[in-house]
Amino acid sequence: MQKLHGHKRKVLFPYIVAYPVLFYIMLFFILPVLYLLFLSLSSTDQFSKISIFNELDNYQILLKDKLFWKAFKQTFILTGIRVITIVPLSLLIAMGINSIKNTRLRNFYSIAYFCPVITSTAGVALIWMWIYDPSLGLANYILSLVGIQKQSFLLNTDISLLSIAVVSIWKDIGWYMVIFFAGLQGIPEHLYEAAEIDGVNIWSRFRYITFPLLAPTFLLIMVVVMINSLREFTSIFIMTRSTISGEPGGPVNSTLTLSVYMFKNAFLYNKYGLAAAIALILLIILAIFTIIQFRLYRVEWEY
Amino acid sequence: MAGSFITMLPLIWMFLSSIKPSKEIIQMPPTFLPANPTFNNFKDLFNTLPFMQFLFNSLFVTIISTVILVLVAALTGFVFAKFKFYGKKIIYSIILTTMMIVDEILVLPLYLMITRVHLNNTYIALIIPFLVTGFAVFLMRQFISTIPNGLIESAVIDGASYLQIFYKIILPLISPALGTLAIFNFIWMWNMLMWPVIVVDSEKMMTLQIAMSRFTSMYLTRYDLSMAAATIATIPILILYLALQRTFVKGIALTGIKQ
Repeated sequence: MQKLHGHKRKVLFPYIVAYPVLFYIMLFFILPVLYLLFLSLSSTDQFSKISIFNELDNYQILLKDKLFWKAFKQTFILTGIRVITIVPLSLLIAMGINSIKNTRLRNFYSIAYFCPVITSTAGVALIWMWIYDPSLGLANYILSLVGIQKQSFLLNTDISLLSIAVVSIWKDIGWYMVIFFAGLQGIPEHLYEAAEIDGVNIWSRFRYITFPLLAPTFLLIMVVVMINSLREFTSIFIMTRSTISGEPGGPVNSTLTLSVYMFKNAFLYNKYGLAAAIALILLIILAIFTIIQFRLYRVEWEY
Repeated sequence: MAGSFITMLPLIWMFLSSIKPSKEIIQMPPTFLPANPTFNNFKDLFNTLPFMQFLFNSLFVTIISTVILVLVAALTGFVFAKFKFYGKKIIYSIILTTMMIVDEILVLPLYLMITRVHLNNTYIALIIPFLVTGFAVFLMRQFISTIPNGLIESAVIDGASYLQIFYKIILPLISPALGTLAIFNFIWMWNMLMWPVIVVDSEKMMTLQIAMSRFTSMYLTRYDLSMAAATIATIPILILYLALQRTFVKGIALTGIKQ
């Protein structure tokens, strides 16, 4: 593609725009990451004074830290639960809505599934805290109607992480549904018609038409869900905050994830070095996923 | 399709509960429609907390940062799509790299930087780290690339300055993309919690989201107040969604990203 460089004279305009932006990016993105690297190699005393270059101590402490591994494990459990539920469910819903011929009805369902997306994130956390309330909550009321005994969702260490996962799945499905829906709309109708005439059953139609044509969308959504699961913070921060200590991630660290553990180390315990090391580990994991996402993105764009 | 009931229920539940008197809210079995609708919860909320201030802070921070981000990203996208200049490739790849440096990673060093220049508890602190993102520049560049060069060249011959070309030709042509970016950023800034919690501790500067995150420890089971607050926090996004539904939904489908 031809660029604008008709004039042989040097144009000043792009420099006036690009270099200040570069400066901004350096100041607010690159410098902080270098600062993190420095912090992760230093230690802080209890007066949050940064001192003593202690090489790889923070990383060594983390590797031996049971809580870090717990947070690590739980982050990936949360990510796993979300991927295996969100991806098929949002595809299923998109296919359901796509099969509705009546436009009004179709719009109604799209909006219905989109409701959680447009609800304020902190609001969602507050709503679900009430729903999960052991004695006053809607969840236990509904369970009691079906004859299941009362649960204390967020207070039971066995199901607290799952309860958090349910909220985030509920919140996000509508978003991914829209992406799948757009993908489905791109599949030519005549492919299905031909298959129908040939007497191909629904499953085979999905297996040999929908799935292969949606494969790029499928992969992209999987990666995006993973990235966003790794970053989950707001709902955990609000819903699991201890009423006594004010610390999130409980009870007994059962909902502790990497981002929450980083937050606690940095801003509740003033252990900047450890927090920085966790942040950098998180950055490496995210970088891997983002590179994959970008590869897929490019494929998607050309297609 | 029963699932649509499940996704809608909590939201409807929130709206209905926000206009129920507090007695009715903790009643078992729960009522679905409010028996005696009232706005007392909202009154209580505004009386017990400087909620108006929180609402203003949130709106101010969100709107200002979104306007700046959209304009800066569009201008930067324009430059990267249509000009040749020294260092272009390397600068663009640096900008794109920032897509993986998410705010959860940056909060600690940014906090230390902001504290060093004594900007805690200011609007500047709430806004300044979010004025350009790799994603925004990338999105704008993609759209502006599709604008034919001829349009710009003829404007140059007519004697228009590049800035004039930018706001008279480029901006109108990419308005759907601007809308998409603006909505994404609005929702993202509006919902942001981690950074504001870290950088703000005075009540005067609190955003709606910080106030809501404190509800759980302040008012243990005051679900009447929390539902009223959740309703207020949802209304701006709801308005934006209803006004720009098409742009919004198309934008998600097109970018395939979630911020």
